[in-house]
Amino acid sequence: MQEFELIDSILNGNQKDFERLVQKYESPVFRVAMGLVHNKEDAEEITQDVFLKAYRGLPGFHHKAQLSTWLYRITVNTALNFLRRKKKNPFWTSLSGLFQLPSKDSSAELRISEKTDHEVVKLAIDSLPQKQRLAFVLTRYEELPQKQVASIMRTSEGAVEQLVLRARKNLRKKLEPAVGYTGGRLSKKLNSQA
Amino acid sequence: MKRNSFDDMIDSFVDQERSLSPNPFLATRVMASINSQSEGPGRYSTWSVVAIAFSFLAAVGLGIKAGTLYSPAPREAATVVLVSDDQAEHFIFYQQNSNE
Repeated sequence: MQEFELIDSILNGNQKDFERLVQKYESPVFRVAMGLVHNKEDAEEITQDVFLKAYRGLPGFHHKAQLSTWLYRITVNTALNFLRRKKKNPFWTSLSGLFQLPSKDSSAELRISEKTDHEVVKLAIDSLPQKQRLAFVLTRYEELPQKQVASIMRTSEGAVEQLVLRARKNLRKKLEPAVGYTGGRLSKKLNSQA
Repeated sequence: MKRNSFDDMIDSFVDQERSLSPNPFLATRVMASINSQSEGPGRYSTWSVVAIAFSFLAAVGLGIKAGTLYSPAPREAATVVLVSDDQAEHFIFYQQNSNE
């Protein structure tokens, strides 16, 4: 079934086809959300929200862009709004961290080291300027072509190329001190920049 | 743990996040939310707009009605009580110990 046929069928009240659409796009939407919020539960909440918004907004979709582009755009906006809300209420974020249990595994030390690595990369990505961060997430997490990223971000392909290059340069600058270094001082420094 | 390079660090992090997949019941959850909220695509927002417009008009209508129902209390002529204070006790009376 062609994309426009699927949309017409949904608009005619065929909910089974919308479920098919959700199943087709849930993983890409989830991956982009994950790249922006770095938390599985939050990414799932955003994914659910994206499909609810898409269902309500489907009558306004006029096939000017691909359906996937339209869904990615909703995902980016929903995730950024989610992060804005979360920034305003940091109490719940810090509270949820209190309930994470320490590992009893023998390889815990290795995992703590890996976790520190990942924490440092996460903070570095989060401290990027918003446009660079979006371009980085859409190209690295979803491996989307520059043309589609440009359409999602409503900018030119050249601008996307520049944003990705600058994001890489900035990440290198932020992560260079962390290569061959394990510790909390760098993550604290990055945290203050984020 | 010694890190190899900047690219390895990023690749490892991105691969770990990309490897996660959403809850297998996510589509079911989405469909359940849609069924509980509306009957068809786009209808929820239309009804919410109608409901908001109706409540706004109702609030304005009630305000106008409340304004027209108000009638000010009838004014009464002011009454003035004239009290002559020339017979009032002098305050010095209480300051004298002999009079306590």
